[in-house]
Amino acid sequence: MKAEYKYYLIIAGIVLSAAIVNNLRLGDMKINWFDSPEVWEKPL
Amino acid sequence: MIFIEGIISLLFLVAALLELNYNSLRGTLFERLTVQFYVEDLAQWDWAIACVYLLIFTIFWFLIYYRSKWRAKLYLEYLTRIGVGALFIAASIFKIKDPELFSMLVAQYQFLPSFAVNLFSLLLPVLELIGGILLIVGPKTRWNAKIILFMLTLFIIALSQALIRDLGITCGCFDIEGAQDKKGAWVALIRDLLLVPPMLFLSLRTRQCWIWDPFTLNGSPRSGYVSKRRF
Repeated sequence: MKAEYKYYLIIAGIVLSAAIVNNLRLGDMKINWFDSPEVWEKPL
Repeated sequence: MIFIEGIISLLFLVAALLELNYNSLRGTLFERLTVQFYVEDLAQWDWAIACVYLLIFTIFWFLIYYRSKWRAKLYLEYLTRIGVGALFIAASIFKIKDPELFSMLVAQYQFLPSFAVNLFSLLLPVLELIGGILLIVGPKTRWNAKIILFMLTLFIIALSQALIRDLGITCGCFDIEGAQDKKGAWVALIRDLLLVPPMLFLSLRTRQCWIWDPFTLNGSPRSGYVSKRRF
């Protein structure tokens, strides 16, 4: 059970770092991590 | 003989999947490859033809099962692993390419608090990609299947709440264009629900091995199979 949690923790770390790299890849169009686009009141 | 039966049944499974997804393949290289097998007049019978193909696949699978139960089970496990893994990898690519657009789709679901939308839309596609690759390749199959199961649960909750509240959502599953009407969202929900039982099986009962293990361990590589004792 303990090994399972460790495994998930490692994957979470990989996911986080890959997401950071992906966000940096966008360059000037970098997304703000704690924000939301303005589409709340106008669904398609 | 079992190998030949496996190949033939696989062909029918692929044919059924192509039949079901033919509309989304229009204008791609796939259409040019498959157009000579597709009869336009029968387009309204797509579901029926796919069901017949699936039936033939099931018959072939039972033929294998009749000879050797564990080989048939191994074959089914591998199909599920590769199929679902490839599905998640394919779904993650457009989201990783364009996280901004994906975050708009996430916001349309009106499910997450506003501070979590961008966070979610940056993390989820990467998790999908890594989860898909790990499910296909990785040795810890049960644990990887639990990751996929977690994501499936998320999708089911998000889609069903959007359908209940009657929001005008696009699914955002495989493409920006996909599922722009309610019917598409229902299809996505049913697909996710259908994927839950096999993933439950994978997360509880399957063997934990690298994808190549049954073909390399314990015995001659030419046999292509490994003895039951090993797992």
